[in-house]
Amino acid sequence: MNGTSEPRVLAFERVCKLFGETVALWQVSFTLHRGELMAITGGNGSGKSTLLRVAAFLLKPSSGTVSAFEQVRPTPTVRRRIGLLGHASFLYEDLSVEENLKFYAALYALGREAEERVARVLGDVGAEEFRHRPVRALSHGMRKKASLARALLADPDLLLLDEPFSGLDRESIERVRALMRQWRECGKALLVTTHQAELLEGIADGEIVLDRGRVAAWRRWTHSPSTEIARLAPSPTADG
Amino acid sequence: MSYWTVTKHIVVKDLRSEARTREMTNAMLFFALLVLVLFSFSFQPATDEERRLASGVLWIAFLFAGVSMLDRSFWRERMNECLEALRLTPASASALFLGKCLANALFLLLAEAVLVPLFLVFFDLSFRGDVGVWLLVLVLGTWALVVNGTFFAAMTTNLRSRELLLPLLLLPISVPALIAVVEATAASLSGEGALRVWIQVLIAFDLIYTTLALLLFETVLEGT
Repeated sequence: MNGTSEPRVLAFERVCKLFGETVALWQVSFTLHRGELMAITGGNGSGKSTLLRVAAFLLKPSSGTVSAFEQVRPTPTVRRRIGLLGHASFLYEDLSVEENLKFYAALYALGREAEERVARVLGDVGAEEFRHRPVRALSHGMRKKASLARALLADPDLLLLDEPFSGLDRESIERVRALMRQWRECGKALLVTTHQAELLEGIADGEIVLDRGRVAAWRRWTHSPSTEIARLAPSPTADG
Repeated sequence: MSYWTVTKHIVVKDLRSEARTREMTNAMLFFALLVLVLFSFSFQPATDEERRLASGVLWIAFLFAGVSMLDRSFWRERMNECLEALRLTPASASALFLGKCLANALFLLLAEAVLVPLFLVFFDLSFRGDVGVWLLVLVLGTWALVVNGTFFAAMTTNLRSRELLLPLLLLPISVPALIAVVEATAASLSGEGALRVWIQVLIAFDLIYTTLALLLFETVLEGT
């Protein structure tokens, strides 16, 4: 799965993202191939979530290039192939979990597949028992599962998961870990931010450590020659 | 993917959410009723000039209702960052916008259906012109408020001063439409006046601003 022959799914080339004078990402470069899982770690405010939002084309980089599936613009086809689990649940509070998923299924144009796909993702993440409950009545862990189900709905080839284990009980964590292995084996590419890097041991191909928006370190956890992570990026200078 | 399927699902989602909370409709009706009741105590229209004034009062009530509703229309999208989730889907931005507009127009028309009979009773008025034509004016005027209001509500949704900015942006741009609806309503109440001309003004306004908003909404969505 992790040979260099695998197609490139996501590529960051010297990507910088600034919010005013605050550096969120500074010259971040890496590539992610089909069937790879890359962990993104770092302290609070290190730029992990920003990196995922840039990868999902929700934020435009201040400089540098981001491409997904060899496309630098988020065409509808590219959008359909990206699934994002964010900090926020992306779910409507007054609708039930199932209503939310059916709504998003319609926007992803799943058509007749929608019912089956909704049932499948609810089963995969273990959210069947509260499918009829309104989102506002869900606990943090339940929201996380429902939100993960939403990210999986269109069967994306690139999964961007922001803290997928936070708020989950032990059993649910094991379920998500098993799903990650399964997705990776199916050829999906995963970019996962976490504070609990140990939970990705044996699953992730490598780890990128961010510090104040810069790639502070990287390490390969398993043999993964296709994972090309850039050299340590230079620090931003006063003149940018 | 069908453009209209996306639009339909946005409308159904908004109607379903509102049916469960009734937050927007309650706020709209409260403000609009307050305006009508207060003005009904201050004057009772007897002359044509006073009828013109009454039509202005009616549209001020609708405007209050509309602004309070529009401010909240993107509140649901802002919660849990649902607007971001919409951007992640392959759905067309203009289909999303049209869906939001149609849902908002339905909410406002629903409020107007309650307010118009009360307005006629409070001010002791009846239509001397063609009621069917005035209903057309009502729909055109409502769309004029909603199309720009939805556009600016989306534009200001993530700003701290959105409650202030929305009316500041919406009201000046809506002046031609407001003049046209007030004049057309006055003509319907009195049975005199250039009703046809004002309807043409409203149609032109709606066409221009609907086209512009549909074309520009993707840019607005990217900037939110």
